[in-house]
Amino acid sequence: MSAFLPLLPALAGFACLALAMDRHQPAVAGRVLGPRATSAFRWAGWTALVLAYVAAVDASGWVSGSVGWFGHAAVAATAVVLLLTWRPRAVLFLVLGAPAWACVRPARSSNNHRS
Amino acid sequence: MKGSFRQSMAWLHTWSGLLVGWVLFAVFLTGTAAYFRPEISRWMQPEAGQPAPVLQSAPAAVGFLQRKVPDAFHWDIFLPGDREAVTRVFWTPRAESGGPGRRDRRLHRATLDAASGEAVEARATRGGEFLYRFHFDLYYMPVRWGRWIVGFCAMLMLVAIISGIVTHKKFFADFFTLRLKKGQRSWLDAHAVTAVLSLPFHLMITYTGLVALMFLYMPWGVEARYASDRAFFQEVFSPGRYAERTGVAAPLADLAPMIRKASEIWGGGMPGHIAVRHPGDEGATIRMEPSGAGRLAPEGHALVFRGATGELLTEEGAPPAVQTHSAMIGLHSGRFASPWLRWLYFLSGVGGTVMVATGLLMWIVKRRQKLPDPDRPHFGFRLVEKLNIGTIAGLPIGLAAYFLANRLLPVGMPGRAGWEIHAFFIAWGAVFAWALLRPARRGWIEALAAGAAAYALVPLANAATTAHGLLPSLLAADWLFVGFDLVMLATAAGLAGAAMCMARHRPKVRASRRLAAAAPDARTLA
Repeated sequence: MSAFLPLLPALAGFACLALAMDRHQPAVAGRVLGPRATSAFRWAGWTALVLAYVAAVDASGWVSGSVGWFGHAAVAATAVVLLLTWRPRAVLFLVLGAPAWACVRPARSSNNHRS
Repeated sequence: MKGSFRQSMAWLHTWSGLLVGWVLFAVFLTGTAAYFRPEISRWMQPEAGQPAPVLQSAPAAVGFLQRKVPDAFHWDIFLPGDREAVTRVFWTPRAESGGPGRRDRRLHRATLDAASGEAVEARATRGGEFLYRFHFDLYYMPVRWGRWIVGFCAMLMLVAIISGIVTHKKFFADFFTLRLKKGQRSWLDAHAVTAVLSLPFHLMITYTGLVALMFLYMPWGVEARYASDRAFFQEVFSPGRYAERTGVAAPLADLAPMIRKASEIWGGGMPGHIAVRHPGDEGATIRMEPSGAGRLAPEGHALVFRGATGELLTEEGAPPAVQTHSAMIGLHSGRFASPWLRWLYFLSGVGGTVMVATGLLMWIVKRRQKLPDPDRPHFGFRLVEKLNIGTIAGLPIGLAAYFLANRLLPVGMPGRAGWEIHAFFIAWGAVFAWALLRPARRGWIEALAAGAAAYALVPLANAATTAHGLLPSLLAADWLFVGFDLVMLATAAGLAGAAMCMARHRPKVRASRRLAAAAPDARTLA
């Protein structure tokens, strides 16, 4: 069941990277963000994508995790594109994907230990 | 200089893509569907039962063969794993012991219920296998031709991908950009977004697809060292050290301990193929190959057991080159993937299909603005336009016809499996013919609407002719049948949406055309 979890940080990662682009900031955040916020979003974006890789390997091992990271990245980036096109404000909520994953993950691991 | 290099790459991208685009669309679409090959096969044989564990299906298949052909030279058992419901068995009688060739296999074969090992009385169909084979063999032509055509197209695909990356001016700046209702701009965005976001997948799938058939495309290494293809494949892929027949009768030992032993050696993997040489003889050998499930590179890890005692004789090692080749095919086919990862593969494949389709449409959209007389386009323009309708709308309709034929053709009809496939091509061809007769815009709308209707009919035909309709399947929690119907309905909705979009935007396009006619210079410059 947990195989889809890497999607959460991947969504957050691409949402942050979109927020790190001047071009998309007005539609998502309502205004152009300052250079510090932009750079913070860029760092957060890349970090979340690394996190997505960790999550993918954690969920399904080195081989499937590595292959799956590309799949999750493609699906997440497509979702961000579609939201930017039709519901740009909603991209803000995707940023929460990374903390959400961090919250869900320990619960899943302890489940594994129990079973 | 830089500009001219980019321009020549743009030229290369446009024409390499156009030349092979229609074949690539067919390869991508059927190949993407083939990620669910076993599931499609199960849907197309609703009479078959449920998957069964290997520890049950393998002894059941051996039981069948012992009753049917106890004295054969060779048995081949292809086990279903947890995605299929039937075991496929092939045998070579002692009299034809020249070796298990393909021709023998076709003559002596049976499809068994996975759990019981009884022959399945199911409708004749090629199921998902046809889609899988079509995506590299094509049809109505010798396999070798099909593979050469597909290989040529895949090679140009690789050219189109690389030249496309060079051509794409704002790879990162436009990364998330999809601008709607901007005509040519929108198509370019859709093409770029589907190409860029799944770029690693597109490169991987094209390259590994070529590697999968590399012995056909580049045979010279093999030819220099081996007397025949067959000798090469025998040595590299199934070195099978079978023992000689002794003539002393001895029953086969219980399979279950051998399977457990194999699973232990493979770190939990299960056999996908079991070959038995000289069954019933003291010299019988049993060769097990791991299934692709959960294993990226299954090739070359076979185990050989002594049939009479169950003792492990040989553990075949895989040379690094075989492992690499096997891993590339594994990466391409995704057979190792868990269900969720398989859906990711499927979605990436859909992305690739859309990329090819939008690329083909771009060629038209870009040139429509520049036509000297939009009402009388030149021959090349009309040809591409008709081929686009026939392929992009026609092929999905062919696929729906394939599924509909499976449900509607009489079960006992002679040549039934073949006629399902003919239905696929008849429907596809009919859309081509329709596209030729109708003006392009009407042709698009009508073909897309017909596609929506065809896909919506599949769940209806399914519910009317089997006990696996959407509601009963939902109640029985049979997710395979539920999922299939939902994918059909989603496809119907997608095609209907596309038809409606096209119908609605008709006047606007006319207006912009008139504008183009009034001010051709401004348009060409933009």
